Amino acid sequence: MNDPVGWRLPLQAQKAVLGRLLVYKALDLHRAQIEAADYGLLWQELRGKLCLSTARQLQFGRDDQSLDAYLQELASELREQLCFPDETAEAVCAPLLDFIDELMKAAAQTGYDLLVGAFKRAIELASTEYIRHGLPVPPELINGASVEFDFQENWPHQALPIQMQAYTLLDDEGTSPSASVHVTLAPRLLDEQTAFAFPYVLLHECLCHVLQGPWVWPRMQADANSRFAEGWMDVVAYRLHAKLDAIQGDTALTDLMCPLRRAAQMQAASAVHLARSTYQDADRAWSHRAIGTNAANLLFDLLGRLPESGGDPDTPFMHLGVSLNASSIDNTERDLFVSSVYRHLYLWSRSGPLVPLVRKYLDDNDVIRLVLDTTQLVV
Amino acid sequence: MLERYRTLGAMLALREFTVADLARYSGVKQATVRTILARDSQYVVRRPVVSTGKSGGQPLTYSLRLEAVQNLVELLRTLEAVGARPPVAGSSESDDGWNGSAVPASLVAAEDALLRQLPLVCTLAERNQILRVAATDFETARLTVQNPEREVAAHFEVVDFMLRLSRAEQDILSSAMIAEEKAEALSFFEVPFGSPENEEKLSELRRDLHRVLTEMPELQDRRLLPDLFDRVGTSPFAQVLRQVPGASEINSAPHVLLCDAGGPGTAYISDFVTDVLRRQEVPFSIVSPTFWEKAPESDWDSRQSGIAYASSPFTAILMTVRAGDAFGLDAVSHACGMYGQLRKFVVLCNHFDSDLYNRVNSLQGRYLSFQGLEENGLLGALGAAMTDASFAPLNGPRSVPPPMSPSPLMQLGVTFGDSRSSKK
Repeated sequence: MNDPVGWRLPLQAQKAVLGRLLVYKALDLHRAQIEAADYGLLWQELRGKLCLSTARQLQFGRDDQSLDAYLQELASELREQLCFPDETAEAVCAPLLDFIDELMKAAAQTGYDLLVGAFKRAIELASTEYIRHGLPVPPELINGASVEFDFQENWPHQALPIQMQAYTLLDDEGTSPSASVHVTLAPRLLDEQTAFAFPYVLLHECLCHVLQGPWVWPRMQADANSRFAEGWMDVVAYRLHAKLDAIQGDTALTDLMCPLRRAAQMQAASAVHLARSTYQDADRAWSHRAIGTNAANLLFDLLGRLPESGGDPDTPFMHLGVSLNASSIDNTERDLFVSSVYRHLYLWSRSGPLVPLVRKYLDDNDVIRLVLDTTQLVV
Repeated sequence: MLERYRTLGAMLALREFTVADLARYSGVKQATVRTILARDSQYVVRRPVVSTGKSGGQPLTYSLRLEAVQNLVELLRTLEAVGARPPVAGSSESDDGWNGSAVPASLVAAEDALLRQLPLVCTLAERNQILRVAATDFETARLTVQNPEREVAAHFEVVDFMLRLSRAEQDILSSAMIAEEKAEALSFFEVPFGSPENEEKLSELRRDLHRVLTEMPELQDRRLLPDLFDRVGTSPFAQVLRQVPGASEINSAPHVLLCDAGGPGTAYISDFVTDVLRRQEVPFSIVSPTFWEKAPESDWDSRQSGIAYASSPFTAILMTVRAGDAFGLDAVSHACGMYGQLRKFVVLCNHFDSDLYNRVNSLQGRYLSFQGLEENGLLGALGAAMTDASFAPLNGPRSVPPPMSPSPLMQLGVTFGDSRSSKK
């Protein structure tokens, strides 16, 4: 894969963002032990110093100091500034401070941009899922993907509970695919929720949008209110994200797609996933996303109940999602499919016509026929 | 009830099943499933046991009787009507399926598609697809919600009206395409407005629109009304729909009713207003401070006095009031009570009056203080009150792009306020 960068963060912002992303992981990993020993206040103090140091870096950072040097200096700074009330406190906090040293040293030695590395990993994970379901992703599709990281001082006005915005633009020209993922971070406000939801957000962009089909160019960008692309496929991305441990195996400490504490990453992803389909007064697209999300969950639920797929509802569900996303079926027809599934599964009195179609799909694996037959069920 | 509902729902879905199959699908214990199967045996037939030659008993297999399917569906619907629901598993949806909204997601989505998405698409095929999606959502919402409360009922009314209007529009677009022998859909600009054969349908739509507007309660959703007006304004039937049944020639035009409820103390404010309206060539009538005592009829007297305009959604009612004047406060309350469509009221006070301000806001009207008021501010408020929300964002953020055709006031050559003002 080519280097997918379209735009890197300026040095000061990189220092602030990576400083927080990495140290938050370390802090989160050691929080329970420190609080259990009744030194939660020291933990809070360390977190506060991290926020202050990275905010100073953003505003007054030195241009002549490299990112690697800063990260190592940050580790030393955090260690030096923490005053211990007694020896026990020092002993309790030592593993955390040692781990931060180790983490920062590892980050300084990676030799590549960790944010871009996370994006490349997200594309790799997403394309692997397509390949796993018999959909060989064309290399030009992956090579045509780029990422632009940007930052802003203030809260990126949005309804999601994270200090980050991300969207993907398909810029296919002629026969050449091109998708650019735009990620805007607010380093000064960057919190744990944002840091731990970062992998899920990248995975959503790559799985749902960068690899959107049909894999013939130019492609048609799905609207923000597309219930399939933004609702149904978000469930697919969320479920893939939930399996990251099993998929990734051993990864580097500094891999931003890899959680140090799985539960923290899942909790953050869940909060964002839920917020995407929750009522918002200003943006009525939430209702379309909610229908997509609910329809996908209802179908997954149905697969779990049927004798044919009850043991493993995940495989046919993921297969359906990625196959339809890669297919030549247009965006409106995809949305109609979602609406029909929702209509027929929301109440069991109406599920009669749809269930045989789903069981047929389980028998023949023919996604296209399932979609076309399901859309025929509606007026 | 819930266990019976789930077991019967499982029977409908699976058609052929064992007790274990039903138990897995429904999440109900096998013993309970057996009880329900015995009690509702009229829906199923037990299939003969075929010997496999292996040791051990074979599980009994049942089939749903084809002739019983309809009865079973009706029974399930009856149970749903009294609150039975499938279990919600792994869904982001709340138990009521409304995801935190006062209105179900499927109804909001249908409304969004019809009010905001449809005017943006150009081809007949795309419009057809959006209509299919919206109709499906509407049906889902209708079957899901029993006895909707006022807010939800108002959304149902709007979506029902919009579906019928959109289908009528689709008919004329199709006819025009056939007449023009075009493969791609025409834009509304190219389509002749209305046609005699649609006259009855249009009359019905017009009656329904005005009924919906007149009976609409005060809504929490501050975007619905302005977006509805925007959408109606993009329709090829906009001219016809704007007419109030029974008073068509009067009520099809934007108009301002000026009521000086402040007496001599606010005469200078009324002078300012009339001066502005004259210069901007906005049609207006001056009505008495107690105009609300007379019902808005279309008889000659009320036409002469201007009161007939009051019932039109395209009329703004501007009342000038003195701060702290109890009569003025009463007049505003009574007038709002009489005319129902409260958002058309603009109340202009000589000084800031917190009681009046709160009262007007609670009635969804617009409050202006004369101190520091500029011409554009007045025109902006009046333009918004005339239901042409494109001139003034009344109710929070709006993401609606420009309509396909000029808005109602623009079509009639009336524009208001700021840089968009194009003085004739």
